[in-house]
Amino acid sequence: MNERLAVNTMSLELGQPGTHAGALMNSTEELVARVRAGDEDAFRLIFDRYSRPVLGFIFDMVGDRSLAEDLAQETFVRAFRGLQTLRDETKLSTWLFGIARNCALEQLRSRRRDAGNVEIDAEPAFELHDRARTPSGELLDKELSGVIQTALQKLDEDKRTVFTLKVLQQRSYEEIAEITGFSVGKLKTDLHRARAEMRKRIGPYLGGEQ
Amino acid sequence: MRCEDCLPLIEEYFDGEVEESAGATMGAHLAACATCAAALDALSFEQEIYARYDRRLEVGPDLWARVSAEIARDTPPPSTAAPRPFLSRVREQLAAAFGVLAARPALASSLALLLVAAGVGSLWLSRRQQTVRPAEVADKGHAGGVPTTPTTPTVATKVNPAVTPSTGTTPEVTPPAEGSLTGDTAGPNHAVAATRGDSRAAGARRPNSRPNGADVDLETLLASAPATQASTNVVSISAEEHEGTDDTAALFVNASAPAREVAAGNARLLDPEEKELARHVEQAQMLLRSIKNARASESGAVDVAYEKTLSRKLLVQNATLQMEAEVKGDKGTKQVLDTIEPFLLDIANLRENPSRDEVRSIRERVRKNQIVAALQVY
Repeated sequence: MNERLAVNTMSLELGQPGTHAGALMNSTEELVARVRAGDEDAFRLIFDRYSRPVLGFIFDMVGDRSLAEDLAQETFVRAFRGLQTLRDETKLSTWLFGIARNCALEQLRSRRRDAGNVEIDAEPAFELHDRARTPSGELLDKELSGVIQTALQKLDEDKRTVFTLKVLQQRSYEEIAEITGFSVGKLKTDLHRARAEMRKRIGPYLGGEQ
Repeated sequence: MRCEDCLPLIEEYFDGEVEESAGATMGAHLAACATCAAALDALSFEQEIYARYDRRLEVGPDLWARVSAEIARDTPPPSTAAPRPFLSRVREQLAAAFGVLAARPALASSLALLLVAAGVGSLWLSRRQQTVRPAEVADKGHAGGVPTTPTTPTVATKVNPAVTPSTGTTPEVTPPAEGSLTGDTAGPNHAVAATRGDSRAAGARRPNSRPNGADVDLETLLASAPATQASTNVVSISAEEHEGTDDTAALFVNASAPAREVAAGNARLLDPEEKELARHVEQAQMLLRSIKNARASESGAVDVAYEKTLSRKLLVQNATLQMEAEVKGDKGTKQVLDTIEPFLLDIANLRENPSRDEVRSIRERVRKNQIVAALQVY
């Protein structure tokens, strides 16, 4: 389990195939120093390294592909402008996620809808048919991804943030506290409740283990 | 360990967030307890389900192109740059000057003291002249051969009594003066004079300030300018809404929703000055968050050198932006900047290695006022 999580985290950190190979060979501190010295190519390497996890996080927060891209763009532009204020270069990733969260929250609050948050003991949002009828694992995964994404959007902002950062992005409590400004106690509570709500909504996929 | 002790910690254990000793105890219990082991397995199974979550997202090459273009648009070559507004140029020159001074702290301190002295002196003289009674003015006019008619309303010339802070480390706020900003760096509990703006700012109330005569002056002024307030598209705060509350978040939440939507929708269309304001607010937010998360070393001292430096820089920006907001009549923005200012002063005037309690005092005020959340909303 731990190995799998470690692999997931690495794949998130290293971006995607086809990105600048240099992004894998420079330390974060070096890249930040180069950008501060005026090397915009170094910022490209930072973008290559972090764009995918940042885009994924924003997508989980806003639930819209096109909007997520716009906000990811805004995140990196703000990061470029504010890089001089980054105190600890080793925490570039945490800092970027903090900016991404701000961008996402600003957007969400400006177009706030009646999300219709459900309580933990509400009925599951999806009633799936017998899992044995699903034609293939791929289809199941596609369907499952849709269910997870819909369920995520029904969490309130705080719970969605901590759930996404912990469960989907594998961030530590300390990092989540730095990104969100929440106390560890609050984020533990939110995470516990978010897990319970998500468990309820994806219940049919859990084979009656909830 | 019993199940009642183990189960509440099972998620933290699964997340690898329990302390080593507790983890060992839990591990031993889980090896022997089928109920708790089943709870752990359920979490593990859930995590596997989430690992199959595929967003089907790819970072296309156009995303970098857009980021790159936006960055390039921000930094046009100087030769082709359009003429900047006067205040922007002043701000840049101030920033450059302070950048030089940052490298020479002794020189900076001396200059700051000189500026403070000059500012306070000129303020005192100007106030003294303004507060002269009409009869006295008339007398002096006769005596000096210069007849003077007082055209400024009483409310604008009244000296604002000092606002007493609610906590020990809160800077003492003294009457606003024309564009000066001072700070005594002798210690954390010293009084810091934060002065700025014209007579209309004289009654501007901080979130932590207590009702006094000067507040009534501000309300009178606000009430007399409803059209200006309605035109504000950033934050709209009425004096009545502000009355009697210490909750900073309320100041920002009171912003009209449609105005905020318009502002957010046009985020990418902001002019350079508005972008600068947005950056300033964001940096202030980061600073306050940094203070909130500052940890003490084993000796009990907290390293806040970075926060102090950033705070000083932001104070300069804040004062300039306050002036701009004042000139534009943008009360909403000015209110936000006024709210930030006491925190910036407190942080800037911390000792080099303040004690945990000194930092905690600021941290508590940041938390109590919910200013970080409020700035995020803004």
